[in-house]
Parts: sequence; structure tokens; C-alpha cells
Amino acid sequence: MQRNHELAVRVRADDDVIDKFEIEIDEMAIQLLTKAPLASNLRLVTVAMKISQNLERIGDEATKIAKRARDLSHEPPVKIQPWICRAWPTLALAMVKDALDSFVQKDSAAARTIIPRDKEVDALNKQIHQQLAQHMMENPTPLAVACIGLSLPRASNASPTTRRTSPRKWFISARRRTSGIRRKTDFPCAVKFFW
Amino acid sequence: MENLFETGLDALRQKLLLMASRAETAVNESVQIAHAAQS
Repeated sequence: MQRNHELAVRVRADDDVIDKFEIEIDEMAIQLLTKAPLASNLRLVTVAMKISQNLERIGDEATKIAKRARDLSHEPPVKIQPWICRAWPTLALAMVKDALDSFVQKDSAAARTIIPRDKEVDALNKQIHQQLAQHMMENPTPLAVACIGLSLPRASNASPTTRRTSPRKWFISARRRTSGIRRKTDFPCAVKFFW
Repeated sequence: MENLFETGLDALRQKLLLMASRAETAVNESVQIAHAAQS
């Protein structure tokens, strides 16, 4: 428990540093925009600004995951195959790293090879959702539903398109299937995440 | 002028790499907490 608290403090500290990096990168980029001799230089600088926004969001999501994990640490564990939980963040982080490397090295061929890898992350995301839905059907209690909040920030982080659509639809659909639970107030953690 | 821009761009790239490294650390730490919560 103490170790988890220390890690949570570190995640918050990392997020603060990431926020400062974003501000510094914006300032550097604005300065560079005034000096850009070519249109292609302008594109590079604006893309760098966009990348820093996305990295900042990753930091925010990491903080959310830490908070959810802390909230749920006293609840019974949810049945998810451990290898999926390990593989998911590993794959997503490798994609981020390779994408950034391809940007820094101006390697468009390497960048193109990263795009199809998103399907692997999506497939793992789908498997986790299926396993969580199964768990909910077997354990139709508010606690079981609340445990799902643990995995959703990771889903959002891995796939922005999924974040906009699927989790909410999936959650509503799962709620309908779960007998005896009908109001938003019955889902404390999940509600906090979604509404 | 162009050299000045290239130097600035290099610094920007380095800063992005540092930021990404910090983001990676944050994700790894939060995933460790999540794993511990689930075990």
C-alpha cells in the first residue's frame, strides 16, 4: 500500500513536469515560427506542438489511472487475463515511442509502419471489454461495475476514437444487462469517470 | 537564419523526447499501481 502511495505521488509529480514541458515547447515553437524560412519548417513546428499536446494528455491519463487504481485497491480484483493487462500498455507505449522517433528522424516510412499496429491495441482493448462485460454479468453488483473504471482510462489513452464512442455505449449496454441496477448513483466510480 | 532555425528545431526535438520519456514513466508507474490493485 505504501509503495502504491509513493508511486501515485510520483505519477502526479511526473504529470506536473509534463505540463511544464508543454508550456516550454509551446514557447519554443512560437519563437521558432517567427524564424522559419520555409513552409515545411512551419509544418514541423506545428506538428511538434500537436505532439506535445498529446503527450500532455498521456500524462493526464496516467494520473487518472493512478487515481482509479487507488480508489479500487480495496475492492475484489476483476477477472482479466494478466497478460492482456501487461501487453496493452506495452504495445501502446511502443507505438508512441516509435512514432516520436520517426518524427525526430524524419522517417516517413517508419511512421507508416506504426499505423497498422493500432489494430493490435484495439484488439486487446476489445478483449478486455469483453472480459469485463462477462465479469459484470457474473457479478451484477455496484462494486463489480465500479471496478470497470480501472481499465477505461487506459482504453481512452490507447484509442482516442474509442474514447469518443464505445466506452459510453458499452457502459450503457452493460448497465441494461445488469439486473437490479438502474440509476447512475448506483455506479459511483464509473459515474465519476463518465459523467 | 536557417542555421539558427535548425538549432532551435533540434532543441525542440530534444525537449519532445524528454517529455515523451517522462510520459512513459508516468504511464508505467500508474500501470504498476493498477496491477497491484488487481492482484
